[in-house]
Amino acid sequence: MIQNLIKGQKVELCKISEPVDIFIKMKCEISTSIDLMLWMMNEKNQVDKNNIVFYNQPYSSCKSISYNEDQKIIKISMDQIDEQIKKIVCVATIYDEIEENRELNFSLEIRKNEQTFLIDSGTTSQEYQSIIIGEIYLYKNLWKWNTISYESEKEIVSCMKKVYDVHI
Amino acid sequence: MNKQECIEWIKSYFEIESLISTLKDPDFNIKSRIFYFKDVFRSIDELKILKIYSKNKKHNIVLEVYYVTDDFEGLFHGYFRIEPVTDSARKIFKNMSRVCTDLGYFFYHAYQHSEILKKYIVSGDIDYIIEDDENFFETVKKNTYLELSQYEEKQMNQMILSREKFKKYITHFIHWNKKCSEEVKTFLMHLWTTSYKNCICPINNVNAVDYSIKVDTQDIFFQKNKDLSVYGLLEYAQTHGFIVFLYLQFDFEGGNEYDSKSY
Repeated sequence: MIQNLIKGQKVELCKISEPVDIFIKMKCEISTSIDLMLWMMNEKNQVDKNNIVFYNQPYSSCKSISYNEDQKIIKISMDQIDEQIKKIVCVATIYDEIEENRELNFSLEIRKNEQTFLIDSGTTSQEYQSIIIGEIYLYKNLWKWNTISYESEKEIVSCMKKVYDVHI
Repeated sequence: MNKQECIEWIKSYFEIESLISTLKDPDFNIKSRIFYFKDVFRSIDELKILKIYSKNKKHNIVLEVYYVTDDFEGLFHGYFRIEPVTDSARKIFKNMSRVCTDLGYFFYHAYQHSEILKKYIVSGDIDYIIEDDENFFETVKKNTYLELSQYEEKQMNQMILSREKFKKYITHFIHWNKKCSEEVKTFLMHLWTTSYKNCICPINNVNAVDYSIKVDTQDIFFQKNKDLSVYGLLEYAQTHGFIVFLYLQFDFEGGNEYDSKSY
């Protein structure tokens, strides 16, 4: 079953400690321009630099998250997430060497067992550098997904500081 | 010895001479960005602008300085390429970066990394024997391949990043991290502006390959032997056709005003 998500839409993913794997896959026409990244935060929005998963660091320190750069797929083993982590923010970073302003369309697929959520997004290569696509957050005893779709002309570190006031 | 003290010593042994009429009275503290922001230079790809030579003519240490019009946001706006012309200059400035944005830093860096230059400054004598480190580079080459052979192809594929995206990696390294030291900036410039980038392979697992160069915002070193000259290794790798692995360490302490980090 595929369900399209729009900005602000929240869905339930699983119960805390439920032994389930969540797969996040990015589909993009121009794969060299967009990278996926996950920021794992504690309840004070503090981020350990070893818990920012991206092409140069494909595993979280607790090994619950792994990233396959070639396929642009992130796998999250939900029951293995460090108990200090209360939020996982999913972002896309845009980099384009070509000087032209190109349209970049991509979609994010979040899959759990037979259930799939789809988020379509589009931007232009020179207008924005970062997109906060959404966050996996802990609500009571549930892991939920919140679709944010926030675009920023700033690079991702500045963007995360502005939106989440993150501390590294 | 700090940078300014070093420059004072350099001035006592070397002369600097302009080769272009628009540059009067050059000194050892000249910066490349002053050329980049002059329209007349931006239309020229590369121009020989300076000659630096030993005051003692018998020592025959001669360097030529080229200005190159190029830019890399956050890393450089124009740069200098330094070409040792004579044998003694090549010996003194062996195993170090040949590019810079600040001529003063080039000599300070050279002073810190060249035993021969240190001895020359202290003694004023050039007759020192250069240690032959080629055998060690050959050992590095063999051990690199030996270390890689323990991994399966799938593991290797996960560990190796695309060489075609190297400019993106450097850009992210500059923008996301805190400001780089002059040493690191020089190294990144050196990689980007020379053909050495063709013998570099970026990796995403610092612990997987001991025979690799690690770069953080403050330092660069070869992990297996911190005393090894990374410039010498790259030169050897390029000449002998083997790949050197490189890991960029991100600290994510940058952001906000990365434009102000431009050099």
